[in-house]
Amino acid sequence: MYVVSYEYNSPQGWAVQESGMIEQGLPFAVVAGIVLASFVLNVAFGMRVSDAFNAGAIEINTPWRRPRLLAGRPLVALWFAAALAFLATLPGVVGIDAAAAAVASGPAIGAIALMTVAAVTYKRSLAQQPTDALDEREREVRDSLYLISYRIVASVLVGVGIAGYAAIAIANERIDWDAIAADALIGGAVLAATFIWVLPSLVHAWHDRRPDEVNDETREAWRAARRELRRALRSGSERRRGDGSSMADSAGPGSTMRA
Amino acid sequence: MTGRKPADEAPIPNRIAELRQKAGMSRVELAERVGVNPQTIGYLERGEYNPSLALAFRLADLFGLPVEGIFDRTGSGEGETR
Repeated sequence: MYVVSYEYNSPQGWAVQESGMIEQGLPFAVVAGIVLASFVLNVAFGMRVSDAFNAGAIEINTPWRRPRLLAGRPLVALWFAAALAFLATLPGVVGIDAAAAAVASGPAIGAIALMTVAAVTYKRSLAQQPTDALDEREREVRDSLYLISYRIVASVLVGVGIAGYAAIAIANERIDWDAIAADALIGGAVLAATFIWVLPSLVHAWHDRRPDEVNDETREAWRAARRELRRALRSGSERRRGDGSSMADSAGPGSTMRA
Repeated sequence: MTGRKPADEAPIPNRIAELRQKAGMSRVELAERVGVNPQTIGYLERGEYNPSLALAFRLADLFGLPVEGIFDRTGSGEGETR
């Protein structure tokens, strides 16, 4: 852990402080903005926004296919990898150079933002959909996602609380909050908020037995099209072969004679 | 994550896929007729989801059969589609 100190007594010192604040505060402002926007869109005005965006029926048979890495358990693993990368770039967490951390924080924030979007939009954002937009099976799935998420969050909170209390009691030490950079605290809090928001979607991805978006009908249609194409190619090549041999048959003696 | 399916609840075989194909309907059409998501029809056909009584009755009304003509609780093979 390190503490950044600035010289406040001179105008130059204030300039140093301001540029440092902007440099280190911007990433957190971006993530905080994403979280705030998601809160406004999903919680505060959730029903109005969903009414506006989900006026039509949810399209299920999407023709596109989500990359396998961004579906199911790989998605969950990637989200946590991005979260760890984000944590590692927070000031003072792993003791790397502040400048290097600042440079690495951009890609890390991009990665966690990308993974968060990929997770929240998983299976047409089923975990975030209002009740009216879901049928009976989907409602049960969504509700069970939240139940599991609450259990996970409660377990983590209780676990962290017990571990922290035990550590303090055994080591007889107090946490020196002043020694922890404020940016690291804010970044950790923003990541925790993002985690709680995205957790139902991650639970969905983890438990989803059919992460492939292409359904059986679409898959069957592709297979049928491939079979048809293969048959057409085979019959075309047979026809060409037949034409070639009949031409050779018809042209054979003549050509010999002509030769 | 398939919805209503406690661990001790065995899947109930059904003839939805067979009846749907006989009726010349796609999953999307059937889903629209009974008011569910097309993916839910897939879950039903594969026996990965047991529907509510209301949905079972809607399916029965649509195919013009009693509920037990579609769902076979005994698993005797009458309703097996797979």
